[in-house]
Amino acid sequence: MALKRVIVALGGSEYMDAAVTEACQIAARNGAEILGIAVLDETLVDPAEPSPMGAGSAAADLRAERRKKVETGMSESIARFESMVGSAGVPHRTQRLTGDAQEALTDALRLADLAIVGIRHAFDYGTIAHPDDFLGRVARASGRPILAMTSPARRINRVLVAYDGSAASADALRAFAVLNAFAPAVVRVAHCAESGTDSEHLLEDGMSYLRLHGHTVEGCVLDGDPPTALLENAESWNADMLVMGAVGRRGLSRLLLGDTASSMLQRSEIPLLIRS
Amino acid sequence: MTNETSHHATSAQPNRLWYANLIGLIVLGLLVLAPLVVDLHGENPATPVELEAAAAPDGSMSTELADAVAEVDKTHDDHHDVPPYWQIGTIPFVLLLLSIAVLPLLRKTMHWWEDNTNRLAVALGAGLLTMLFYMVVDGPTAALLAIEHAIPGEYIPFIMLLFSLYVISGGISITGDLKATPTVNATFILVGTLIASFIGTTGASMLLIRPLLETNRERKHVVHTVVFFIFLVSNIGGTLLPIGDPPLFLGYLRGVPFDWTLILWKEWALLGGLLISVYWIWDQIMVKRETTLDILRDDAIRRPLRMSGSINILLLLGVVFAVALLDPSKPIPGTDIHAFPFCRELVMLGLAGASLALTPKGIRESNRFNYHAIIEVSALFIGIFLSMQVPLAVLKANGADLGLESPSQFFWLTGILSSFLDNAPTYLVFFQTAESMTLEGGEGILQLQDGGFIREDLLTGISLGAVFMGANTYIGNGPNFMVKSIAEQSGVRMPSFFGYMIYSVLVLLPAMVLVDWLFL
Repeated sequence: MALKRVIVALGGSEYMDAAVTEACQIAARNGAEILGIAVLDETLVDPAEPSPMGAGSAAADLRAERRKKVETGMSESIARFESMVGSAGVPHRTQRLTGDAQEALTDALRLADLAIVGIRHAFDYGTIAHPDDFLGRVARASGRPILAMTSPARRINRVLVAYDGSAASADALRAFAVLNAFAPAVVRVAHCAESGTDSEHLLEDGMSYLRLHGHTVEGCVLDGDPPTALLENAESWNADMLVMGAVGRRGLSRLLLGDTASSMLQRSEIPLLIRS
Repeated sequence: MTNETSHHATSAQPNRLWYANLIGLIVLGLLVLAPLVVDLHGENPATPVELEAAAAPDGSMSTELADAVAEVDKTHDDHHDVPPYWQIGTIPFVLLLLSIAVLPLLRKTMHWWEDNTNRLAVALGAGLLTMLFYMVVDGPTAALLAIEHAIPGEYIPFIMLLFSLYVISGGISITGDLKATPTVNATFILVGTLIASFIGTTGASMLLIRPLLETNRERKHVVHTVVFFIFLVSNIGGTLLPIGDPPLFLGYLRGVPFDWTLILWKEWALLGGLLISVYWIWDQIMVKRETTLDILRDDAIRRPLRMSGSINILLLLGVVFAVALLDPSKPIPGTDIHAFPFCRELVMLGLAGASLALTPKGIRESNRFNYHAIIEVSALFIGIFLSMQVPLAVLKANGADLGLESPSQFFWLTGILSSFLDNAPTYLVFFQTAESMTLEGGEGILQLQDGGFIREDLLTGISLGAVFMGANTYIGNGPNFMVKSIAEQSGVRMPSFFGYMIYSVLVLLPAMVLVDWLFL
């Protein structure tokens, strides 16, 4: 499967330049086009919210000011994107959308292979941030791989793949292999040990599939709380990217058990490729 | 393109506001003049006493006369008790409250509702329907009496007070940037709590929030400071005088003495002291979480506090005296002169005019002063006061049967409703209910303007509930949301509606339980 269209979120945050740079590299390597998307997220910028009597104008002023700030941010981001992509000489288009950011990104991903988005602050242009699991939700709604980009962009040499045998983690591992968007020197498959599972066997499953795709592979078993163990391992091994499944836990179970992907999205300092 | 559209929007705003002003003024003029032109009280039918006097000296009455007495008794009841079909008559009031609550929440209507002309249209619609109802079930005199009660009796003094406080306090500006220590922040909140009763919670909030935010600009953890500011300066601080919070002023218009609210000083001082202490400890913890770099920057960037427009402080004192002394229903203290009707309002208007004339240029700009908020309040309250007449009449007649007895019940009911609705109409509703429960004077009972009586312990519960619990949500009181907006505009990530309620449930609710347990 070839990668032919990469979406890059023009969110105006400190991560945007890195996202565009990475998109240019991937697109150039694969002969793909880049679709830059800027979204005015009405649910955040212009929410329907209650206000007390007398403060309706204050609320309206606040919304108008936020909207103006976002519109300016969108125009600046688009201009910056076009100059960066133009000088890289990659075919590209831009879209300016209004509405719910999650829906807009999910819709755009229907006919695209990968989205690159700033890891935190997706489309807030310095106003209100999206909820922590915004990217996880987009990944689950679209079923496409999402690269949550950190800053600055770096050459991706070492990739740490979190694999626990679940459908989501297998999908993420396979998406990484099939997309063939990166050309890492070595891929490490990591498994967070759980009682009652055959860690060695699981690791071997994952590694053998990656070997089929021509990757140099190694494996390791980690102990402890998965997000912390993965982040610590990535740091000590100098990983350039993390690959993991985004399983959505919601409500009470999320509160009690946590959501590894959301927690990683909040804490990670290296890019995170997620897929549900 | 972005610039073009936004420019267009701002230039269209004053135009629409101007129309709203004009329509509002005309309607208001008509509403004030109508009861003055028609002599309502001369039209009243003869009272039973007069008719009985017309009977033969031995007390026997002709059958026609007896019928007339019965008839007058009946109409008399109709006027002073529940209007017939009152269930229908309260619909406009309910619809208006629903519109205020729901229209800003629907994506289809939210921007339409932002226009004050539309707000005025909805409010007047509700008012008009109510008057139509009175006209149909009780005749034109009843409608005019209701208008007289609502507009010259309550709406005009209410709006004039809010307007003059709004204009005058908007002419004072405090700038500066102190070192953001817990003690400095707590002092800001303390000062706000102390002055809120004299200049109104809105004025105190607008005056102090900007220098407080400026002082905390270099700090990252500011949300709790803004939240406690809302608790104390925008709400609880205003307990002590009718000027502090709009519902207390409505009580004053009903005949509660100007200095009566001063007896609430114990509750005010307890909550103030308690919450400021909690805040101080909280901020001690939060200030330790700031990075050394931010603390150093905060230390480096400092400007002393400076107040400009201080002439307005004198004018604010003028408003306090006008309200305290110029009550047309009582002689001016120390004299036997009665102030003429609307004398108080004219004085307040004059003071507001003086503020506009005397405030140095530039202060109002730096405060981002505009008339939007006061126009919005004026537009909505005209409908609220008019359509409230029916539910108030019903409560006056039947309020005693509602089963409410203790000050605690009044405290919590007024409070819970004030958390989500405007506290002024809420206060009036429970005030009327409490008034209907007491029929004669005595110890611990206040006599009111309309000849009614109210138990002081119930009034305490109502006043505290309305003022204190307006702090429970962003929508409980106007200044709450204004403070939130200003904080957000200067870069503080304020909690959402429910996020804010976590603070109020954790901090305010236990404090309210304490107030109830100790004082009610």
